[in-house]
Amino acid sequence: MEKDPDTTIGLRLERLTFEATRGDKIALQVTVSVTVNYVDAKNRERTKSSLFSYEGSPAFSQSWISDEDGFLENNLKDSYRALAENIVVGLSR
Amino acid sequence: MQLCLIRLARNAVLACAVSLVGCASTNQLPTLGAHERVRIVSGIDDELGLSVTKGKVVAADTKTGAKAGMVVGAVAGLSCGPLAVLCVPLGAIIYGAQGGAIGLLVGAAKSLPSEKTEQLSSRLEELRATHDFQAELLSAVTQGAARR
Repeated sequence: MEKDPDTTIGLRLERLTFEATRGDKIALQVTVSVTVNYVDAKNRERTKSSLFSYEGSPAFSQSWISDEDGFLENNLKDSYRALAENIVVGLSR
Repeated sequence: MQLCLIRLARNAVLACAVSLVGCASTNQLPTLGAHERVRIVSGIDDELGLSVTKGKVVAADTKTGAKAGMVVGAVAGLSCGPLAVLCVPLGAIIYGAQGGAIGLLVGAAKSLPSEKTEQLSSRLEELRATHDFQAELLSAVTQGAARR
């Protein structure tokens, strides 16, 4: 039986924020925490956490509210993709 | 392209470049070694297998039997900003509010009438009812790893 990995990565979607910007526009912000539990070279258990934040392009409030063509869902998916890319890059550098 | 600097935690100064598709921050997590197997868990009990090959994280088809609960939270800097029209914290994202609208916090921003705020909240609640945001994030990370 294969041994469980020593390293565990925890992902938490911490917060969604719709933030007002100029000119009746709103930007989606998504914050994710990443916690890595690992064993270092001296065989000590260590934990490191970091926040990843995404801020999308501002769009008129009516676009968010009317949500035509899945506007809200598409913006959420964009945020996940951007965050995922950064998380993976951050862990594999 | 506009450069913005966001301080989210005492030791985490995050630089991001705002483009048409938004931006995500950089970080200072430990680097995983080549061929290192890791376990990835969500804030609740989802989990996916990932492994690292040649210094890159790649998706694996194995799942471990471990459960979550080891995610160390307590990350500072998660307060909602003064310009937040809607701010939905972790608990509301995952669990929602019992018997009503999503557990949102409305910031001090006056730029959006309350009626519009309620409409946006309602739309978000509808979306949350049919989508598991946390699971979708995990899926995005797995897919991102698979592309590398």
